[in-house]
Amino acid sequence: MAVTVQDLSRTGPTPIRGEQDDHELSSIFKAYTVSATFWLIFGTAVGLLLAFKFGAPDFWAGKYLTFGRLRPIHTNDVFYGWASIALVGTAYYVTVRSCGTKLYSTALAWAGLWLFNIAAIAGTIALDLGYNWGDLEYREWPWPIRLVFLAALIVTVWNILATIARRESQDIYLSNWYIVGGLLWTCIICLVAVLPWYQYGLGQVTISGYFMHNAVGMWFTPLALGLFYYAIPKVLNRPIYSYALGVLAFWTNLVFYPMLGAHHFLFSPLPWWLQTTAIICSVGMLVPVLGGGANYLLTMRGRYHGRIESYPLAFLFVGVLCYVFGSMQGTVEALRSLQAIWHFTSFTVGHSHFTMYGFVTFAAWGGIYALLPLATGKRPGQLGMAVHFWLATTGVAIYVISLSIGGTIQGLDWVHGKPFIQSVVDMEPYYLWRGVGGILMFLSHLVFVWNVWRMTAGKPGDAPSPIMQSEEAGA
Amino acid sequence: MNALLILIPVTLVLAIVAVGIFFWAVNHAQFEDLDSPKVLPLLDEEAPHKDGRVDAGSRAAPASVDKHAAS
Repeated sequence: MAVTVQDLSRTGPTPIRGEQDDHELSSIFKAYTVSATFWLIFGTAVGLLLAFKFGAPDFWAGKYLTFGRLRPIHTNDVFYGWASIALVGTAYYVTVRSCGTKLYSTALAWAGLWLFNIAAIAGTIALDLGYNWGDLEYREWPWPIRLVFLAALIVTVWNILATIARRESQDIYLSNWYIVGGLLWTCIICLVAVLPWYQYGLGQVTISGYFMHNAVGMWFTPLALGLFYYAIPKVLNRPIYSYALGVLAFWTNLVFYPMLGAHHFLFSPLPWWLQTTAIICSVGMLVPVLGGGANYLLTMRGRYHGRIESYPLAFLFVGVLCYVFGSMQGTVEALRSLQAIWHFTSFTVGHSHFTMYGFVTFAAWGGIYALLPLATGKRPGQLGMAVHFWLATTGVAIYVISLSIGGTIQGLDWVHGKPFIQSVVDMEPYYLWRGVGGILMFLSHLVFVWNVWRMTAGKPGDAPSPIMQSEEAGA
Repeated sequence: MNALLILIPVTLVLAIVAVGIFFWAVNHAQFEDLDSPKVLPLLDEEAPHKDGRVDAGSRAAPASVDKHAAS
């Protein structure tokens, strides 16, 4: 190893970090994780109820529990409650540690957490009372509430940028590029999504596709990938396979992603050239996806035995696989010939759970299991992580496979002009299997709560770190 | 208003900003060395105690880095 700390320390004075700073960072990381876990439980409990409403539409059909009100509560809470708060919590830890410095402002981090939670609580109440922005997917919250979420983002990006500015080394580590890129871009799309001048007609459709897909791909994806670039090398105690490949993946992601939103509206009255542009960018996404995926998997190479022994790594591994295959599935779905079958079917719901659950949620779990013990000195039990891992993995596999098969049948029924009710009858067993998968996923979340409790409650401990021994030392 | 009349200029401005950030990064030697920054996550050290004492071996992580992968 030719590199030393001194080689990398080329910038000016970095504030000296002390025990107190580590303690504060640990408190912030803990608070974000606990808060996110609450939204995970709440959001997925609602999701589970919704899954059964397909088979039993009259079950709990009171005004406040109708499908139309609960569906956006589920999506918004798992997006902006669970995934956003969990990934921002890990982002703070990753940025501070990879910059070898201390957090710019503890107060701003707490303010951000409050704003994220106020937005999620107010949004949930508003939606259940019937106040919403209609069918604008993932931005159903009334616009003032969306501005609170935007404020949380601005506070966070300010804090993260100021922390990076006082880094120890000249180079800004790759994770921070992803984190800052995701935060800045999401500030922009949140602003574009609330400006009122074009929120009608086809303009609104364009903005819908733009917002909906960028909220997924330029918010959750970069934050989760940034977490991968820190957590995978950290757990393996081995640097990323290729830093250069990571830089290429970052910039190509930035080139292709922002323009593919219109692929949600193929065959719509949107201009044909706009749809084609979106398809081309969807295919272009294969470059960062395959580059990034190969990078993570090559970093893990030769450590298959360790992947089973170390559950944080197992979560990260599943996250990487779902990133690669889920994103490639997205590219395939964007091709016109296949979109003609899958549009409006449950296949799309399977795809969004493949990516938002299999990729983003597993990445957040892997990151929390890998990094939170380093912050608090407390580890969850091996059995607790194992039960969580296998329930969640089995559950999401059943969910995605059943909806992919069912959605294809549904689409073919429509293409062949069968009576609509035929497609509903054909879907019935797949809706049931989706519910079974959903139960397993929800049970795994209850185990996660127990594991979070083990990692956060009480005084800091001195449990062994989840970092694996390097090969020559460990094997 | 036609949304494209807004989206195209906004996209152009954003593209210019993104290219600007890329040039900033290149000019500030961010991508000059594409090998050594990858050890940054492994350089983590424990915070010094209040009296300024540093635990022995807290900088040892890079020394035990997997040589097979680092080569």
